[in-house]
Amino acid sequence: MPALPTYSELHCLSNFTFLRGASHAEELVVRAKALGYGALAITDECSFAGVVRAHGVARQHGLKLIIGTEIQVEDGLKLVLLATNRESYGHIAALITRARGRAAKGRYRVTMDDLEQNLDHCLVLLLQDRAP
Amino acid sequence: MHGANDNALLDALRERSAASGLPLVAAGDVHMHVRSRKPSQDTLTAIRLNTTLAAAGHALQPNAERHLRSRAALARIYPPELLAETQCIADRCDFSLDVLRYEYPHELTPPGKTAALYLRELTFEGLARRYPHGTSAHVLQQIEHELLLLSELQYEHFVLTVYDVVKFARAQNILCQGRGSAANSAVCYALGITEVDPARMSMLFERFVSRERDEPPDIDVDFEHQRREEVIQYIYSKYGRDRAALAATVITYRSKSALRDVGRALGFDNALLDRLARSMSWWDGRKAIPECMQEAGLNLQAGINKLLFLLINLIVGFPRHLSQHVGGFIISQGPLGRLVPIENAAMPERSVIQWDKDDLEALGLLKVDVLALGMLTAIRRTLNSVSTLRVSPLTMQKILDRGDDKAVYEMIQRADTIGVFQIESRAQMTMLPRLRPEKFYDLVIEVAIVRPGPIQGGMVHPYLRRRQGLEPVTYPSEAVRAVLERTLGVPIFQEQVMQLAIVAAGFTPGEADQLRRSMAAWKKKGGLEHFHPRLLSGMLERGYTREFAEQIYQQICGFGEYGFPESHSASFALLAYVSSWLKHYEPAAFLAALLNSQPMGFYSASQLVQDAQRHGVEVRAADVTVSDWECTLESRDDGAAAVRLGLCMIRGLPEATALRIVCGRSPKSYDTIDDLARRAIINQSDLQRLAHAGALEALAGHRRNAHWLAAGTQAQPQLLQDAPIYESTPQLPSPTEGQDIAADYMSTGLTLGRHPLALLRPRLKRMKMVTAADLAMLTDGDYVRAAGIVTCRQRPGTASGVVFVTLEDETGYINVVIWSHLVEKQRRELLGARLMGVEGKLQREGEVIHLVARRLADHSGLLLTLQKSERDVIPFHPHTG
Repeated sequence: MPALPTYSELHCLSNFTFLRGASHAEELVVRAKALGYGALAITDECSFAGVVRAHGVARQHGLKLIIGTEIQVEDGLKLVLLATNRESYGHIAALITRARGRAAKGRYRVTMDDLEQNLDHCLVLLLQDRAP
Repeated sequence: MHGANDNALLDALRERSAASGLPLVAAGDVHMHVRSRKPSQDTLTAIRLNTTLAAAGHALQPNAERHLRSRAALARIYPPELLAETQCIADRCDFSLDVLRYEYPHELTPPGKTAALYLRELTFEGLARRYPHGTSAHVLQQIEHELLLLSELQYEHFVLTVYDVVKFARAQNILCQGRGSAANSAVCYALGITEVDPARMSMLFERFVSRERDEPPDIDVDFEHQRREEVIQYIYSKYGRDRAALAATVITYRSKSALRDVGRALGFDNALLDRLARSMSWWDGRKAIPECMQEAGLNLQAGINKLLFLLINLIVGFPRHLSQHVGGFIISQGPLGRLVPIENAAMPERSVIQWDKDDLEALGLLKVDVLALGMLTAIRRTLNSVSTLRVSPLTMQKILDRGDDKAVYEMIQRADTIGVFQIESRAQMTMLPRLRPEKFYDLVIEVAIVRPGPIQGGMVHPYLRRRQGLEPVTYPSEAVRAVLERTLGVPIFQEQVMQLAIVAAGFTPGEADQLRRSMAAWKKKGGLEHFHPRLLSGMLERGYTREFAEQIYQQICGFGEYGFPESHSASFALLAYVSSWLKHYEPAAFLAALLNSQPMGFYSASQLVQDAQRHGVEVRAADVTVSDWECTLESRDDGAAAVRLGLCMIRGLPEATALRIVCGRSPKSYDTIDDLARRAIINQSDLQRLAHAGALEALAGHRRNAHWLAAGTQAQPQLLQDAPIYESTPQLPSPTEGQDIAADYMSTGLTLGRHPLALLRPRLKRMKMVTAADLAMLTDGDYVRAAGIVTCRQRPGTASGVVFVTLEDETGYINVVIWSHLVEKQRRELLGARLMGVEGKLQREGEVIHLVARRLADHSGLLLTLQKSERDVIPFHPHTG
């Protein structure tokens, strides 16, 4: 049997993406650890609301946690942004703050202009469209 | 990749990647940790789209692949290089929340000074104000100790920020007072943040701030509840929305909300869901769901019902949305949004960060709690109205400076404490005659000792036994005596346990604080055991017996959960004393202030008015010819003050209308209802409200006449205002007393007439019901019947299913104890009755009387008979709890 590949999950929602994510951060962390993942990114939609809990359980279980967010841009583009360091974490937090600040409670708006703002050191995953 | 056509998709992506130079990477778009969570995920989707699972169709994910898949499964789906790339990306991410640091604003420190120096200056200015005759060496020593620690941990900016908020409130004449562990700080006292005097109370600063603790302190400050918004807006305007925001509160699904949402998604009928939700009471956890479902006629074995139950269980506890914390502020030196995202709250002009208080604590971030306390409003209002009649204004400080007042304590010992702070609750009231507080420190103990759990569960507190002389008071050493003497050898406060660990077992203050923290959580998390050997050896070394050491350890374990910080108790005891003093010496002003501060406290307006009347306060009805918007004081011929109810007491009357009525009275008051309606421009429905409340009686005689006249009156356009319409008034029979009282309750929530139960008494007597006053004459063990209006239902989480109900009749209150088996059997009567009848056994201990229920009855129907023959019968709702 060939050796299992190394793998880190870079796009994962917890139930802090309200009414989409169907598992608690702790369930995700424990499962990812049991499956031997290298790391797990929690990328709740335009939100860091669940990251502190995830951080706590990841530390407890000895799993590397990556912090990011899934963003639906207005023109249809969907992205995942990942923080590589404190600076990029701050850029993402600021982007979420801007996006949430211009919408009513519970909603957000991201335009292409927002992506022109400083996002130094952020890693971006462009998500595939379902139909190629 | 999760489905069919993945190969074609992959080819297309590879082409794009080659063209753009961007690498391809595998990613799971994970929505759940395991495949079996798919039904929940579908249900959540249906809830999100506000539809049913059956109708959601394509909106649901086509398969259950978006879970954390095994690496073997991934290897079958993705090419190796896409999997390897995930690890390359993960390796580039080198960020942990542990590195987050943030600083409180620096601008409060004047240029050229360090924060430490400025804090020191302010502290000493404060000391000069607090102690005009000089500060004691003991307090100075404490101050130096605190300043050193605050500076070492760099908390100066934090304390200065809180000081600035409190200074603003003082300048605006908003009463405020710190609570919680900050009251262990002499610096906070000097700065006016807290009110507990270190010269009078022993303090343990480490309960507030300690070197060893890896968590920051909170400073909680209470403000007058009606003016807290001014404080909040001050913070926003001073620091801006990008530097100040409230902490979030995560709202999670509870049984009821999960039932509604899941039920709707599964296509259950709304009426059925309403019925199910109603049959759940607030104390039922999720375990009650099967019983409730069965009660509603749902067969739990049927597939769809079973699914409903399973899904509810899965979703309970899921976060649903973010709300705002009651008052926890985060204020930062730099842009806060780079530390944690900020979002809009539901309330306009409010913004919240995306983390709640547990998150902040976990990361060691400090918050300031700007809390609202109704009693501060009531105290401020009483002081203000009393001060207008005095040469120099009355303040809290002046009341406290007079020292313990015997008459006030006698009132407290009688449990005559309706309306005062903290010691007015039913549980507190049953303790007061036993504890018999006679000095300030007794109140500190009283506030702490009445906690849910051991006492209400029936156990008599060992402190009480000692106070009543039923148990000897001994100390194993002088050092221990110094710690425990103030509580007769029984540790009551968290600070005492900390001090015990310090003096008897050689802990450092910081270690003692760690012990205290483990103590609070050990039942849930454990973690107290490793202190055991340390405590034991420490105490043996210092010459204590093993027996005593074990006893102390057991005491720590035993009271860990219920232990109360002494500093917090002392802060609350100050308010309890001041409000008691005001109730005793200024009952009319205190009542008016309480009514104007509603809603607050344990009692309804009606109960407060009745209580004041029993103490000889004259309460006058709301009257359009004299009432203001708020309740006011009027002088009586004998010089005493009477309370005039304000127009604010009339349910549904807009403030603007009331203000027009008040302004329109000068230069000349109203002669007729017509005159009132024209000059104050009052519409028909508001006139009816005034008539219904009896506020037109000065103009129209009795209430029914007022109704008739009001009905024939229209607010006129400006031109016609001076042209009255004359119409003769037919003579209407005056309403019965019962109708008057019922109308009072409906309109203002209280009656100045007789209590409704006084009217029903002949019938209740025939039913062999005794009054609350009668109960005091009976002996322990008597079997009795009584009835009263339900004013309060309580189910302490720790009292093993017991429910406490308070009934009110025309003579006072009846405390009913309902054991859990009866709660289950007579749930409907218990939850539904507004007028409850109880049959049971009298239990008395000294002046404390309980009625232990055997049977309950719902007599609410009797209340309806009070208003019979009223043309349009409106349901009668007295203040039920």
